[in-house]
Amino acid sequence: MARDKESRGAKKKFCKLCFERVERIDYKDEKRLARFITDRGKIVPRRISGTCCSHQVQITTAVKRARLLALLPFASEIYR
Amino acid sequence: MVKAYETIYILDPSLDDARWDEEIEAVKSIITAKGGEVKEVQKWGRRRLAYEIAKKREGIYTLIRFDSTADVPAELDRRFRLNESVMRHLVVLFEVCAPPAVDDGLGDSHGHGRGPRGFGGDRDRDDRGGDRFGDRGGDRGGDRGGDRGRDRDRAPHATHAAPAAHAAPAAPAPPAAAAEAAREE
Repeated sequence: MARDKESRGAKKKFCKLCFERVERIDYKDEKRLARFITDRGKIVPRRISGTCCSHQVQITTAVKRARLLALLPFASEIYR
Repeated sequence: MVKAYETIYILDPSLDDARWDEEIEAVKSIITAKGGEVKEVQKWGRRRLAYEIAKKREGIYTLIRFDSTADVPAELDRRFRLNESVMRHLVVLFEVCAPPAVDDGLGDSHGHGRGPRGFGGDRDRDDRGGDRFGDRGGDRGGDRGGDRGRDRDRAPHATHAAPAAHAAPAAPAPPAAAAEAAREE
């Protein structure tokens, strides 16, 4: 599987939020934010998610606010 | 200078509804006393917390949107900290944001432009760990190279229509169907 991918080159990443035309991501929108955190609750880096710079900044602040309000976990229950 | 703010605070779940209303009124009066204007009150009600706070698994959420000068958020912050039934609070500048991802009640963001990427919608959610770390490709490897490029080129047009009629799965469908067809060949 992995080799297969290597040989034909990784698929080009693109910013999911630009794609969905999300101007501004809301920190209250935990369903959408959930796609940008790992199952451990970490913020997914741009290198992996392919998010553009301005959206990644928005995601970062939004996730941090959401964590404060217990909308998103700081760390996932299972791994704690 | 008057700015738009919003505040969310989480109250102790052991309070009853009367107490909840009381707290809302208290916050409102703090805002209006300082010349602010309450724009909107959203009672989210009891919600499960993502993690335990002070041995509690749920909390009563309230959102208040208001316009005021900068001294009101400062005062609110102070009061929230003094108030022992407030478990968490946040006062931030209000921003006009994109509507929440959920609207079909299914808790998934179908019809929001994820469709055109193909048949991955639900799967994407379920095993998102793997997906995100790039080991897709595998089962889709096949001879879809050219088709994928086409898919992506077309994608922006598909979403362009989506915001207007995002209840209609018609927009995301065609590329997905095309991809499906190509795979069967």
